[in-house]
Amino acid sequence: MENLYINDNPNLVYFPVVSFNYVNGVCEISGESYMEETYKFYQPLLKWLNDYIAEKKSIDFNFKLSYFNTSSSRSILEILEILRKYKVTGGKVNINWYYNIEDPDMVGEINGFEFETGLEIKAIAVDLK
Amino acid sequence: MDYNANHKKELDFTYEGPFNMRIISTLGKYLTDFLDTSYEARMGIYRVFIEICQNVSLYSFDRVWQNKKSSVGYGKLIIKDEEEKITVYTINKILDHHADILLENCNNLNNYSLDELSELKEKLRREASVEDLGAHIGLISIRLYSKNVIKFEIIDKPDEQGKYFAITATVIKTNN
Repeated sequence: MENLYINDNPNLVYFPVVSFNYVNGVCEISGESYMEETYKFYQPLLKWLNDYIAEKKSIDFNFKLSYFNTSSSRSILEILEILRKYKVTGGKVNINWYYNIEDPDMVGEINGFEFETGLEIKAIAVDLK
Repeated sequence: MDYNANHKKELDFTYEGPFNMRIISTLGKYLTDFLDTSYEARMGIYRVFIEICQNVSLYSFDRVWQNKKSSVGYGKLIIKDEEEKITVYTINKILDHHADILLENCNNLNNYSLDELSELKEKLRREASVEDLGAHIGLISIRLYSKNVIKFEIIDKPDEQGKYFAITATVIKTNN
C-alpha cells in the first residue's frame, strides 16, 4: 500500500490538497473543497482509508479545511463514518480539526460533525491571517 | 482630473453566463480580496457567495455543456457592496412545476431559527445521496452563513416560456 497524495490542481483553489501517509498514519486534507461532482474526488480517499484500516494501524486525521461546500460536507461525513466504525472496533483514531481563530462558523461545523458521528474531534484554533 | 477621486470604493458587479466552478471561484476570491473586513466577515460573504452560485450551477434549468461531458447552469449574478452590508443576488430559470415547492421550502427557511436550521441541515445531509444532496440543503447553508432572512422570488416571464427563481442574500459586514 502506498501514500496517497493529491495536489493535481494547485491553481484551482476549490480542490483541497490531500496527503495520506501509510507509514506513520497521518492523514491530512487542507485548503478548500467545492469542486463539481464532489463524490468523485472523495472516492479514492474513502477507498484508501478502508484499505488502510484493514491493516489495523493507528490513524491521525487532520482536517485543515477553511471552507467546504455542502456536497463536500457529505463526503467528509463518509470519512468520519469510516473512522467511527474503525474506532468502535478498537482502532486507534485521533481526529484534529484546525480552524482560523476568527472563524466561529467553522466551530459550528465541527460541533455538528461531532454530534452526528459521536466522534471526538479536537478543534485547534490557529491564526491564519 | 483625478479618475480615482470620482470612483466610489464599494464594489458592484454583474455577471451573466455559465456558472462553472472556475468562474465562481475567481469571482469569489476577487470579492473577498477586495473587502476590507475581518476574516470572519470575509469568510461569511465568501461562503454565501459560493453556495448561492452553486445553486445556479447545479439547478438552473438553462444548461451549458462543457467538455462534452457535463453541463453547468446558466444564470445571472449581481453583487452590491454597500456601507455595512453585501448583497448577493442570483436569478436562474427553473422548471415550472418546481416553483411552488421551491417557494414553500424557501419560506419555511426564514421561519426557522438558526439552531433549528443547523439541525435540519444535518438531518438532510445524513439522509442525502452523496451524488446529489438536493437544492434544499444548499439553500439552508446560504441562510445559515448569511445569518439573515433570505429573499426568494419566482418571476414569471411568459414571453420567455418559463419561470425564474431569484434569491437575494444579505451579509452584514460588521456583525458576521
